[in-house]
Amino acid sequence: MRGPHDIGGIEDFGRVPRDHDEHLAWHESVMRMLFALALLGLARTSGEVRSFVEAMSPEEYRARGYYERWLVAVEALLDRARHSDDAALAESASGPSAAALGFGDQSQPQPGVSQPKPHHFDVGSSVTVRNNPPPGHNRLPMYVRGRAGIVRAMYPPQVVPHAPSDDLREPVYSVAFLASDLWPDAQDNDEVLIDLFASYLDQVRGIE
Amino acid sequence: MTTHHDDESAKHIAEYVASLEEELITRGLLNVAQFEGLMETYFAECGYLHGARAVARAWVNEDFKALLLGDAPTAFQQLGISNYDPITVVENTDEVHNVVVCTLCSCYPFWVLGLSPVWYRSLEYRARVVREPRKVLAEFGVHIPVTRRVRVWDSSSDMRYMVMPIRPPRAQSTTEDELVRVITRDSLIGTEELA
Repeated sequence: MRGPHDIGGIEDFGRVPRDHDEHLAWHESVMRMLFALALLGLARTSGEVRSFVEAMSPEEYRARGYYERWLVAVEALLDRARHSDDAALAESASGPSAAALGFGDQSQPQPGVSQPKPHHFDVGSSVTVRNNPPPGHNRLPMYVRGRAGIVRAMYPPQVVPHAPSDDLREPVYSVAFLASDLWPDAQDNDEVLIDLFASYLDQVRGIE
Repeated sequence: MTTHHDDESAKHIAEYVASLEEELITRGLLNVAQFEGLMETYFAECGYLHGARAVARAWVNEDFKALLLGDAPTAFQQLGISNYDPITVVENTDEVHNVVVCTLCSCYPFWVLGLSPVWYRSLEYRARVVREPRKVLAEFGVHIPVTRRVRVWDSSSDMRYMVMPIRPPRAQSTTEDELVRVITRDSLIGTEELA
């Protein structure tokens, strides 16, 4: 249920390492391959890329370094490429610019695609976070599930993490939580703000 | 494959990744030249100078400050800095100290801050700063008085965050170009206060 990547608030961890930043050539290769394979359309969404990484066991996830984790996604996408029509893929390889990335793509959905209308929440309203996000990939960490917060901002629609393709979008809300509503030893008045998709939230009714 | 800390395994993974990249190139799936500009931006050690330029401008120009805090992508465009993701800039004040994390992976605005630091990507930072930000900040030498609110931003969507630090007292009369050099990468993430 809890993915290996969902570590916010877990207490197993010690001091933050302050190692010198290490930049190796293979790190660059991993990211270049990941961007290239995603741009080819081998990854349907950035959520799918992340889901390869998040399918690891917690032990493997923690044992691997940052770029070694992305390497898992590269291997999965490359495997898909090996079973695809190379000629068609190669043609698209020279197509879109690297700036398009596929990650954080802000293009609008194609007209005519029917989408269920997501809930709308006003800035300043109280919301609770659902315990069960839609099936599939999600960006809903455990530490906010079931908790109540306040909507501070609404962001333009983004591709939903559980979408099978990148034409299903929802507004994203910046939701503020009192730290003391999340953690037992938190300082009064400290806050945690996190971005949550509309389908992760319910309106708190009654006191209005 | 598990960990790669010793020299032998480091060599092994480098060779393995090179062989994968070779395969992509041979198959016509990767054109390295196409990614030159992106990789330079992504791995720029001094990439935070983009963010620093925006903050320095905001410190000397109230209109630009309002734009940076209200519509950061447009503010960066005005400085000739291209956007890859949506971004929000949050202001440190005497009442609030902001700090940024991505607990689920390590999302980071590379096009304004360059290569993310190792500590930002660490499991320790991701797990702890959202729960005990004051303790983590103290490890970085940042001590926030109890009267000042700490606000942690967990960047869980495509939105990226950058902190606008407080202009240090010693830099009240310096020029915009000099101010750029006063600003550090970590102050733009929220783990350093400028003295």
